[in-house]
Amino acid sequence: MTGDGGFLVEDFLDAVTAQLDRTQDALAAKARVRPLMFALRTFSIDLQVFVSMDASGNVRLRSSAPGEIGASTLKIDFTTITRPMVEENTVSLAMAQAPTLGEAGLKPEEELALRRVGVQNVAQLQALRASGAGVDGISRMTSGLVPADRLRAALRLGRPMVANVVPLPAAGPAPAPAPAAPETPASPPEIVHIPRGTRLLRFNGSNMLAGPATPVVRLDGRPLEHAQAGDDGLEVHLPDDVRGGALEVDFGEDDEPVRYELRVEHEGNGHVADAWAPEAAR
Amino acid sequence: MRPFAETLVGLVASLDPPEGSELAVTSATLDVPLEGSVVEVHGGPVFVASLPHTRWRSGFLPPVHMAHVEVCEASVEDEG
Repeated sequence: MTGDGGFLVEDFLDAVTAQLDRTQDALAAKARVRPLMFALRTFSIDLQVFVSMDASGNVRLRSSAPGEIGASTLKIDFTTITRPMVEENTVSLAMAQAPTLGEAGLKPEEELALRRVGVQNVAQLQALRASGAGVDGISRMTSGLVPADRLRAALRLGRPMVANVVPLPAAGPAPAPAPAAPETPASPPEIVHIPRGTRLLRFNGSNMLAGPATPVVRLDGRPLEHAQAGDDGLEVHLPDDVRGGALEVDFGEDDEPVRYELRVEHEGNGHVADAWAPEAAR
Repeated sequence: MRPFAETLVGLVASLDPPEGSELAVTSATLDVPLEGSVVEVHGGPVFVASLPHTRWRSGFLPPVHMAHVEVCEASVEDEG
C-alpha cells in the first residue's frame, strides 16, 4: 500500500474476490447441516474509489473516505463460471511456470513495459515473438523502452537447456551424465548410456517449459509419453523393447531439436552377461 | 466494519424462512447499499463492508456503495 492508502488494481480486486470466496465456502459449509444450499450466482458493486498512478506507472485504487467528493465509480461484476470457462481463460500451467522476465535479466522498468503489452514471463515473450510480432516488433510495442538487443538477450537466457540425461530409477551403476547439449547442429550427437530395463528417462535442465509448447521427446522419430514435466526436468517413459536409437528433444522453437544417441548397456559394464562365466568375472 | 464475507453470509442467512413454515427460498436478488472500503489488515488488502449506519448523510460516515447480489439454490455438482 502507498502512503495515500492506494492499492494496486490486482490487489484491490483480489481483496473483493477473496471475500466472495469466503462467502461461498461459508455457504457450502452451512449446506452440510441444512437441507437447502445457497450459492452466489452474481455479485456486482459500484465502488467509490480514487484512481491514481504511482511513480512506477502502476495504477492504484483507494476507497473514498468519509466526506470526500469527486470519487470515481468502479463498477465490478462477478459471476459464476464453469470449469471449461476457467480453463479457457486461464494461462496454462506450463506457461505460468516459465522463468520470469527478471530471471531472464530484464530490469524492473523493462518488465513493467512488457507487462503493459501482456507479457509476464519468458514463455509469453517467446509466444509473442513466434506469433509474428518479432523481437523488433515487441520492442516497438514497448515504445522502445525495451531495446531489441535486451529482448534477444532475455530470450537467450530463458531458452530451454538440457544439462544431462539420466535413466530412472538407477539400475546398477548410473552412467555418467551426458554433457550439455551441443551448440551446433552439425556436431555429432552426445551418447547417452542406459542400463538394460530402464523404463524412465529424465532430462535435467532449466527453463524446460519456457518454449511455446511442452517439449516433445522422440526416439527414432516416435514420440515418447511424458511421465512428468517441470521447468527443471522432463521425464519420459521408454518403450519395453528399447534397443537404443536416435533420441531428440524438440522444444518447438525455431532451433533444431537437441539430439542424443541412446545406447543400452548390458549389465553396466558394456558386456552381455554370461550366465556360465566364473562368478568373479561377472 | 467487518469483512464483507461476514456481511454477505448474514444477508443470505436472513433469507431462510421460519422453521416449520413449509416454505423454501430457491433464489433471491438483493440490491443493498453498503458502507465499505478496501483497507490494509495485517499487511494485506481486505474488503470490509457493512450495511449503512443510517439513512442520513452525516458527512463523517463512509460513502455508500450499491451492491447487487443474486443467490440461488445450488445443485450438488456446484458443491465441489
